[in-house]
Amino acid sequence: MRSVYQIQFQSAVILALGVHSALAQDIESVTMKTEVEVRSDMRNRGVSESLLRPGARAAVLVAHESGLTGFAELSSVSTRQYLGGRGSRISLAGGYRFGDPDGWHFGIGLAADLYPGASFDAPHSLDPETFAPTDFRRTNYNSSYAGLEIGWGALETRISTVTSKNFVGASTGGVCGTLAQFSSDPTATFNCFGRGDQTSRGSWLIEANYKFDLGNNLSLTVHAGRQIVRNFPEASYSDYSLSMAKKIARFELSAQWLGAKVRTPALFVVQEGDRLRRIDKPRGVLVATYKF
Amino acid sequence: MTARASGDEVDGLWRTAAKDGVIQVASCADKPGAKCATVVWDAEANAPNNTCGLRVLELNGFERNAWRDGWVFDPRDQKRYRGTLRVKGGVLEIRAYIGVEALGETERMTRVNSLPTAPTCKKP
Repeated sequence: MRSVYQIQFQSAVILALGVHSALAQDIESVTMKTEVEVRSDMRNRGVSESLLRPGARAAVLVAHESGLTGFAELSSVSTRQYLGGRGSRISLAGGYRFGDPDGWHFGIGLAADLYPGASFDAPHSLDPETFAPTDFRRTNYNSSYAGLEIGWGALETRISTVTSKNFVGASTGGVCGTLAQFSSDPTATFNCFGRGDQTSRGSWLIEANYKFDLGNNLSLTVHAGRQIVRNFPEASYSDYSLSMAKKIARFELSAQWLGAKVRTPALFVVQEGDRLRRIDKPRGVLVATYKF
Repeated sequence: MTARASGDEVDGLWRTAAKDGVIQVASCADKPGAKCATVVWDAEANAPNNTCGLRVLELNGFERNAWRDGWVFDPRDQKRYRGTLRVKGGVLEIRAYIGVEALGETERMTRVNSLPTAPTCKKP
């Protein structure tokens, strides 16, 4: 989830270029900020959504003086990972922020990630006699969340819970079916199906970020996250990133190192032709963002 | 009263992080008790749309270790926002925000003792 309170609001007072006429105008009560971005790998919580390939995103943030905010984002994703889809993820969020940015500050919000057209068919049980996968059903990847942000100065922490039926397709079909396909450990597959037909509603997403301002428009952000997938502990994982960013006028260029520490690598494998590709492996990513 | 207690520590010349401008913070000549900031050097001072002489900040009161109650101006989008101004760790922090401080961004500036020799603002 790239929630509304995950986005830095850019109402800078940088004395760059401009035109005289500062006076005789009202103080803004509503504002809209837009950004477009290209990345060498589209990562979400440390895991590639673009099958390790470059991608792009565009986002709009609207904020009202009351503290209410709205956010919409369109990102490219791989159709090999999000099967049958249009190669895009739409993220929507709304929330409320308040507090002192140098001291305690808070945010609450609702968010959704939608993968238009994307879904997959997978088995939800094993035949008790033959142990063959059976009960194939269709599941989509759409997910929704409710979240709380608590910050102290440059430290931001967030905790979100999954309110949709599944967390990005993590159902019995999505998790146990993938194990049946890629895991070399049949016991893990049996154990997973043995829990019966389950959803991952109520999963928890926890993260902490700290941004160091290094001066000269240079910053270093450290991130750590933990995804606790309800009913599917084998799918839970941690992620991390280090990001060095430099602002140059309306551009921001950043170099990131990010990855995930997973418990079950078979759940983070995508088949591409004859190759199985791990989408959780640590990797350097380059990002260029234009804000306007 | 010390400069820190009165908020006068913000007075002086401050260079933007991008090093493309210098502002001068001082008591407002036309508004007693308030702080104003004016662009006194612009890296593109020779361009027709330079910001030389532009007032980019006017804050009316000092409380909770910051100047508040007024506005700051962003020349890039030609909009005025609510704002705060303080010195923290020797760095000038100007925060521009919408409504609540949590919805904003802070610009940090470095103190300088003099203006770059060129180009020169013709309307300081």
